[in-house]
Amino acid sequence: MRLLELLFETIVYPGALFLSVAVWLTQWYYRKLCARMQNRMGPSYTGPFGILQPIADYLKLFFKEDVSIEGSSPKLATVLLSVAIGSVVALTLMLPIAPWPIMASYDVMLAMYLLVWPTIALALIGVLTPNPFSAIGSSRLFSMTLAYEVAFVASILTPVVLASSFYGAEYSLYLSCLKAWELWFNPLTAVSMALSLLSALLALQCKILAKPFDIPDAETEIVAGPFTEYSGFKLALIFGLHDVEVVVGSLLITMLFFGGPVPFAQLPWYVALIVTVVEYLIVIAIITWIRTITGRFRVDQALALFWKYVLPIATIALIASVIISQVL
Amino acid sequence: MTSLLVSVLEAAFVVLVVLVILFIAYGLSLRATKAVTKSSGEKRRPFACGELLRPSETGVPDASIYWAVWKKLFRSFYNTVRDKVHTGILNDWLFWMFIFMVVLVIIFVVVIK
Repeated sequence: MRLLELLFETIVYPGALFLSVAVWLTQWYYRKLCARMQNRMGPSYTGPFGILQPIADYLKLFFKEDVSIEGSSPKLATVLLSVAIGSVVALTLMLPIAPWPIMASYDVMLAMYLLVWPTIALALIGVLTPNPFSAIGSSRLFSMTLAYEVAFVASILTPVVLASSFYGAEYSLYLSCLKAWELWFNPLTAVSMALSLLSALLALQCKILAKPFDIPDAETEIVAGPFTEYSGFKLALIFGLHDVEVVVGSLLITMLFFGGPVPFAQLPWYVALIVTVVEYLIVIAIITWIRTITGRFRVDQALALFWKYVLPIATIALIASVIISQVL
Repeated sequence: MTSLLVSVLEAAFVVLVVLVILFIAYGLSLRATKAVTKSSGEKRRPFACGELLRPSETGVPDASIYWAVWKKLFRSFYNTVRDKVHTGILNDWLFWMFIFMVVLVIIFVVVIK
């Protein structure tokens, strides 16, 4: 019975089908918003208001030739990308939008592991192709991983630690999402929450390789970095992984820091749904805004930003949350 | 609430299902593009900036890509250490190594305790 539940969740909701629709609409909103911020029109001709443009892009790649360069490992690249997408889908099943969630005490460790897979996959697929641009892109990605993944993990752990000590969430991501929003009403924990939210947003920006952190695939310097030699279906998988990361990363922040629909559970279901969607769109808008107003950093500038500012902020928030949870 | 091991197995099952779905889609894509795919000739050779690459040119030495970033990031730290600490006198080096060993011993004692 449990396997059937998992199968339904993986294929329909909140897995593949739901995420496909979410990716489609989020990408349209992301592109349109970015274009309007840059005084452009954005997608306009494919469907009403260009809403079908993301689907058209994926269909085009699906029917394009998949060229595998000599000396590369195309099947291994496909496996890595598929596992990475699978790990992000599994993470979605740990959030409060899942009807039969994956949850256990201390499952935040599992969530951290699943979160790291996309980065590992993207870095490794660059190493799998014989091209200097791919190698340089992968090396940049590996270097940046040491900075932003630590900051992201620390900033996700802060609300989990606080929710576990104040509300008995048992270091479960699902239970923490249900309770962490109440931490904003305590002045002591609100500071830690604000600091970790700030570092989580910046780390997510880096994780999805959006400006100013699009250093590994800087097109004016190294063509497309780790993705240079990929085309057709595998390029669709790369874009798919990126887009799913945007959706799930933003959902994770929405659910963990603001509770999603949980604070409005007393109200009619559609009000809770609308509020959750608005919170999600605000997170996407912040990512888009940062992407639009900034230029690309050099890799050492990005590392310096994370090591000198973002990581200390995330660490201070985490240490403060541990001290608060022990003292209060 | 289930145990962590069960959750890990459930997540692995989800990953496996997605892997199967995407491999089926990959097979369908390969079949759909079979008519236009001619996987031979120059398009399968490694090019960069319009030039065909020799095998030795397709990679970048590890020292040039992994360490360069970190060396650049910590350059001011290295400069400070070199200018303030490094004197070129052997006794000074022995002094710093002695301090380092003392710190290591303290750490080990604390950990073992």
